[in-house]
Amino acid sequence: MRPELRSAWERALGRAEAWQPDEDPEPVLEALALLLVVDLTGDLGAVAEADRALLRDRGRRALLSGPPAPDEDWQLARSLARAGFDRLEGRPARPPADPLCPPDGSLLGMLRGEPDGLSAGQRAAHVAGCEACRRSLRVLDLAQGGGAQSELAVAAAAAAPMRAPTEGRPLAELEDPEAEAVLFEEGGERRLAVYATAAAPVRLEAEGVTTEQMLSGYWLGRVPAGRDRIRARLHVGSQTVDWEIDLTAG
Amino acid sequence: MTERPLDREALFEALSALRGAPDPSAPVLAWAWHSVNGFVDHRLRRPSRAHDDVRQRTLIKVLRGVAGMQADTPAGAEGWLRTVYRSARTEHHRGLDPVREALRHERGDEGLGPRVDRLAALPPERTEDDVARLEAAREAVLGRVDAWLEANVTKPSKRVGDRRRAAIAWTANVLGRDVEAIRESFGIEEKRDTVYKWIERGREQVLLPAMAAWERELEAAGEDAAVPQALSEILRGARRADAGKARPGRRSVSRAQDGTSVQSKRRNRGS
Repeated sequence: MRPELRSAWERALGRAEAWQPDEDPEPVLEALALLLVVDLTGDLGAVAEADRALLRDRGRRALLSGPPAPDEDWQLARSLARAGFDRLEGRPARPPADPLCPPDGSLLGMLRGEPDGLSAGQRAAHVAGCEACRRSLRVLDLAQGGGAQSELAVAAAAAAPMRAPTEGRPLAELEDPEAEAVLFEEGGERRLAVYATAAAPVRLEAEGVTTEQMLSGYWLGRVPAGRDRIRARLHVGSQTVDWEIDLTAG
Repeated sequence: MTERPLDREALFEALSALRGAPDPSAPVLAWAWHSVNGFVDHRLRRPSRAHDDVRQRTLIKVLRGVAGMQADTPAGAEGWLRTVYRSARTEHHRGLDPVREALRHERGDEGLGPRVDRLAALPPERTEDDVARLEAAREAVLGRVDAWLEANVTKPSKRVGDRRRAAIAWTANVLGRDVEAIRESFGIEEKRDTVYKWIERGREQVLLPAMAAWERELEAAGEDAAVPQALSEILRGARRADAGKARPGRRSVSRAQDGTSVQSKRRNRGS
C-alpha cells in the first residue's frame, strides 16, 4: 500500500474503531468507502484480519443506523460504504459511479485518501469503471514500480513474449557483463535482441536503434535498414560498456 | 530497477517508445515510464513539497500527450517534457490553465459576450475541437469545485452529495444533456422533478459559489477572471431559463426539443 494511502487508511480505521452506536456513523462509512480505493490499488489483501473483523462489526451496525429520514446525501454515502463493505466480504460491488472523470489533482488526492474517505471512495467508484483513469493510475505505478515487482508484472503481462534466441542469428557475445546479441530479420524489418545472464535491466543505446521491449535480462529493439554495424552502449543493471556489433556476422 | 541519472538520449528513447506504442500504459513499457519518471525526479525536480504531485501530474500528461509529441531529437524530447512539467506545475499551483486554454482559442478583442455565447453554443453543432476544449474546461472547473467543497463543506456525506449534484448541473447546464441522458449516464432512477431539483441545487449551491470564489481569487491576484465570469454567466442564463416556470412546463420544453440544452433553448428563444 502506498505510504500516503496507508496513513489515511490507519486514520480512518482509528476513527471507525472509536465510533459509538449512538454517534453519527459517518466515520465508519468513510472507512468502508475508503476500502474502494484500497481495492482499486490492489491492496485489499493487505488489510489485516483484525482490521477486517473490526470493520465488519462496526460496518454492520453503521449501515443499519442513520437518521430517521435519510436524505440523498446519506443514501449516497451509505451506497459507497456498502460497496466497500461488499468488497471487504469478497463480494462484487456496484457503487454509484459518476460518469465525469475526476481532475488529475483529485485523482491523485484519491490515492492519498483525500479529502475524506467518502470522497476518495466516490472517485474510486468512477475509476473502477473508467479505462482512461485506470490507464493513468497504471502509468503512475509503472513509473514508480520498484525493480523486481515491476519486472515481474511486465513479464507476466507482456503482449510480446521474450523471443527465443534460437529463432535468430547470433552476432556477438560479451564476457563482462555476460551477454549475447542476436539478430531477427522478418519481412524487411530487423530487430536486435540482447540476452544477459544477470537478472537485471538491460538496455542498448545506439544511433537509430529504437527500444521495443525490455525485461529483466533481456532487451529487444528495432535496427534501421542499411546499417552493417552499430556502435552501441550497453547497460546491464548499473554496469555500462561500449559495444560494437557487426550486423552481418554469424 | 536500478536508478541512474538519465541522459537526454535515454529520455528520447523512452519517449519515442511511448509515442510509438498503441497503448503507452501497457506494462511492457514499464522501463520507459521508469526512465521518464527518473528524468523528472533527477533533472526537473525543484525544491518543493509539491514535487510529488507535480511529478504525477506530469506522468499523466505525458500519457495523454505523448502520441502528439513533435520531437525528433533528444534535445527536442527534453524540451517537450520540460514544457509538460511546467504545465503540470502551473496546474498544481493555480488549477486554471486548461480553462484558459479552452477560452484562449476564442479570445480576441471581443468582449465577454461572444465568448459566453461560443461556449454556450457548443451543442449540438460542436466540433471535435470544441469537445476537447470543453473537456479540458470541465476538468479544471471540477477541480475548482473540489477545492471549494474541501474548503467550505466539512461533512463528508454532504461533500459527496454536493459533488454529484455539481456534476449533474454541469452536465445539464453546460454540456446540455437532457434529464433522460443524465439519468442514464449517472445511473440514477429518480423522478424528473428530483433530477431538476438536483440540477438547481448543484448550480446554485456549488457551481456558482465555486465560480464566484475563483473569480475573487483571480481578481485579488490581479489576473484575468474571464473564465469564471463566462461560466457564471452560462449558469445564470440557465437559471433565467428555468425561472418562474413550473417543472411540468420545463418538461414540455425538454420534450419539444429532445436532446437540446438549456442554453440552446435560451439561445433559440433569443434569436
